[in-house]
Amino acid sequence: MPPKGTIARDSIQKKEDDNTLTAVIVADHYETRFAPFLSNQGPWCLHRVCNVPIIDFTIDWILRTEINKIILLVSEKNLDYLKPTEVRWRTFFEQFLLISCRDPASIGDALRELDLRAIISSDFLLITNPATFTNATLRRQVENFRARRKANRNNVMTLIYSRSSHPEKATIGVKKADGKLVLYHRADNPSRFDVDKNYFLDDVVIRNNVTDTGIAICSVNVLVQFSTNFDFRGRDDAIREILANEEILLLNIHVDVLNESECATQINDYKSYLTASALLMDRWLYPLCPDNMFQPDEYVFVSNGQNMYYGVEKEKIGSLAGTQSKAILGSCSMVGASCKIEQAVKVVGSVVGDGTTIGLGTRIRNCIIGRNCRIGRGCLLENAIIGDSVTIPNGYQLEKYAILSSNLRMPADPLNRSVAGYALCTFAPDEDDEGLDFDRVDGGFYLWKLSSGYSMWSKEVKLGNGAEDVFSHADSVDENVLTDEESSPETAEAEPVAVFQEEIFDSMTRILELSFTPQLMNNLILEINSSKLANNISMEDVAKYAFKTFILLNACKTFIGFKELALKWKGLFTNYYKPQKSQVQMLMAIEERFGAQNEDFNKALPNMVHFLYTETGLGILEAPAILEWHESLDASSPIRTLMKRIIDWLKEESEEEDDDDE
Amino acid sequence: MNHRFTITVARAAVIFVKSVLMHREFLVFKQVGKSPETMTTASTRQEVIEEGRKHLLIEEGRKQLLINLRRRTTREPSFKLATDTLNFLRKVVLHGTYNNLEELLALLRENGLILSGAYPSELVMRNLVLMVCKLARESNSRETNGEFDSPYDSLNKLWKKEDKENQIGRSAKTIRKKLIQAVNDIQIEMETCREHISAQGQYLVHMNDVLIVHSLSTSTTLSSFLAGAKKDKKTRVFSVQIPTEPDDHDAVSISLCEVAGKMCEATKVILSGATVFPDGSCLAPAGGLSICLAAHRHSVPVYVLCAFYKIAPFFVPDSSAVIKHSLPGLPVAMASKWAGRVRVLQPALEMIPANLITLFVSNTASIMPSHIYRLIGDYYHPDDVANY
Repeated sequence: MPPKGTIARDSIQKKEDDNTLTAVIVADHYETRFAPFLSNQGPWCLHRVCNVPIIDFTIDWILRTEINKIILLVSEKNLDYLKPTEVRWRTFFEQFLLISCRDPASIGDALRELDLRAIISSDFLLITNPATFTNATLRRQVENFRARRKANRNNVMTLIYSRSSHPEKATIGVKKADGKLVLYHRADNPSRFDVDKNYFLDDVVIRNNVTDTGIAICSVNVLVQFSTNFDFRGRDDAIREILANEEILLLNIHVDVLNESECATQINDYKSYLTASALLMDRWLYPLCPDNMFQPDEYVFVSNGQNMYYGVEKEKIGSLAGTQSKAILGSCSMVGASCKIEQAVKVVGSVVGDGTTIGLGTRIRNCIIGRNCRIGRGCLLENAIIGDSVTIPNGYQLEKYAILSSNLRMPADPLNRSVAGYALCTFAPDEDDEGLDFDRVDGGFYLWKLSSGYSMWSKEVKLGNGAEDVFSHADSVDENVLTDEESSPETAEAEPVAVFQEEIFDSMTRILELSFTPQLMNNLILEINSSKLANNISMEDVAKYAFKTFILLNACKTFIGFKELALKWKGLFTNYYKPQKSQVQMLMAIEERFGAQNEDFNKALPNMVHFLYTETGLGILEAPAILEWHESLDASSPIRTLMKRIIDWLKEESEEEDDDDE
Repeated sequence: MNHRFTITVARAAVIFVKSVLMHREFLVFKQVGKSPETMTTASTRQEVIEEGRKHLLIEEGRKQLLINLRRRTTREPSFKLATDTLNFLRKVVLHGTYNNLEELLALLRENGLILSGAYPSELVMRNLVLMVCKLARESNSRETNGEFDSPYDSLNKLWKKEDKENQIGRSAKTIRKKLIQAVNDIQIEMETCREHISAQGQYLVHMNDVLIVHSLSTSTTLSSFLAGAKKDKKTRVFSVQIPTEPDDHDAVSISLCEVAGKMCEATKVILSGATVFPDGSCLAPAGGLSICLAAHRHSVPVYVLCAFYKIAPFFVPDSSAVIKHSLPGLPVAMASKWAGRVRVLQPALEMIPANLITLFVSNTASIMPSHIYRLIGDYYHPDDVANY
């Protein structure tokens, strides 16, 4: 039985028979990643994508749907920031309400406040992420929703999915006949879910070729869900609740997919921020594109037909003379108004904010640069997000995936730390901000990071401690496409291997945390085998990368730790390293790990090989494998000198054996 | 409990409405405060508010026009855009505050620039603003010296500074009245445009003609022209279209790649123009250029239909700035992979040079490309064009 409130509300609704749709936008963003740009600068929805406040794009596409009423839910502290937005858009709609919520800690809190005030009595379009863009008019989806609702008043929600490809594709299970949602992905990983066998008996289609647009058409019953469950934080909680208690609540959720030509995207992290701005500039979201956005007091752009956009100064609005810039703009790029750009500057796939100066010969690629920045001569900026009023000295080469918050003044000497995947700020994070950590860096900077260990840059990348290459591996796919000159088939092939390595790294670290049992070892072997199958990895590569990942583990940092763990996990090694070929691969893994940067490892190398060989140690390696590997080494390789003693000893031993035979 | 709650909500709503109203009034003052002269001329508070209200009226009208443009998802026929723009300009003339011609021209110019700033590629808007400017000059000079002589009549006059125009027209009221009348005349001319063009179909198309037309489904002028031609003549029509376009019953649809082959049979090519420039070149729906080139190769005459408001008084040095691009037209599954890496361009229009066009069919007459500049004097004033 549905809760009492639902029935009461339903009866009121029937009387009114209000058929209009209201858009509810949660204006605040609860993503800790964006915190470096939020202090004293207003809410995230006023941050700019393509030099236009995000919220303006969002309202602009809503303008093209049938919606005539907009409700913006905003936290009290950000209310004043959004007043100008209200003034700007008020006349465009029948109703434009700003509703302030007292200190909401989540989307759920904001929606509870909305329900408490009982402002909404009709169906509504719920947009929980203000940075949600689409070029669909949603006409068909709204019609379908109404038809379904007429058929059954308990069809309370329609989730809208798009066909656009996204690495973080969500997996959902949908009934074939009517598009009813029966399976929703897990909270921790959108590509996985738990499924019972009997779902396969019903006519359920499991889809992972669609992406969530973040847009949902809801009836008021959905708000009631939030009010009755005080612990709900986001929309997904409500969806899971409705699905889990299907028999009790009797509510249904449906899924509608946009057609082939309708594109949609959201900004969740800095990677999708760059993607969204490229989509907007390349007109994939047409008619939602920068040169259709027009606010004479704020921003006006002209495009030159090649998807290059120029900001127009106020006095030049409407003139046909055009704004010629000295910058060599590549496709899909934008330069704001009153920028000072010197000769031979190259801007590709990037957005440069208003009033920024860029020095001679600087190259900018896939960046978003804020307003009033000063960028020196001969700099190289790639894949970075830079806030407002940042100063970058001449000849600076910024690391990829760096996030620089506003008002930074970069020192002329490079920093002594990698900033890739971190955010560099002039101030420490607020103590109230949960989930943020920071390190101090030379020059009075603060390097922010997420306590969850994930990269600030992207949701999909985890910053390993001690294993930095995990980050670069995961993104190397992306880089191949971005730097088109450098792409080679070899690196493209490396991709499944990287995924495989990442997967078994995860499995190993997880097992390390648990107390050891022989059964766990079997599980690990099973997991490695399934990853092998999933990524189509050859047995030799398994041998190589399994061991490579093993020695990358934190526990194996010291030789003693390595010995202990290796003995403990003997089962793993006896399983994989029986054939001589695999043993050679194991040694090659050691060889790859060998290098200048890890002295400890280098010293321990002979000991390690010895340990792997002797019966008192692990006894995995056999003499022929070691000899074969030794021969394949470079004549000048330092490993040769290190291994000399063992090799000599091995040779002696084998000769003795030969003698014995005779 | 529930009751009390609704009452508080209602009260809150009342307060909210009041505050909005107050805010509005405040806005009115702010707008007026911007121009000190108006403060001195309007003596009482009531008048100030009245003026502010009118100012807001114009602003609202402009916003409404831009909203409607924003709401559209595809390009509409330019006739609708032209009518909307003209209606807005009528509002400006009616509600604007001005005491003489210069102020009126400045007002028109200011609003026109904002419109064309928002939609630089919609040249029709520019044309209409300039047209109304010229009409304003005309009504003013009729008011002052009874006669209006075109500045294009004599080449030498172009260099002379005309001071009589700058004389303050005796009453802005009369200008206003006359101008509204003139604007209404344009409106009527625009509405009858299609009829006039289709009437010319009878004379331009001959018995047993084979016509090749382009973008038939989007151009109502073109279809009514063909209807006019078919009234008493037997013709065959090939319509160039993309496969997804709906078929026309009276025309055989062919794809763009078949044009060159069919050109041997054709006797005329008829296109609908989007904008005509003074040198006789024009913008036509994309695909038009290749048809014209094929026609040129086979010496087939090319007729371009264009209403008078599509004739622009200026050249555009860089045509890429006025050609609108739209959706890449590919499945969105490629979007996130391709965005920023692959350039997919889908222009809506194409520039066709004057030498490929035989005749422009306008509502008043059929004109050779080299004579287009003569028409400009009828609709525009050189000073307006130069200052715009």
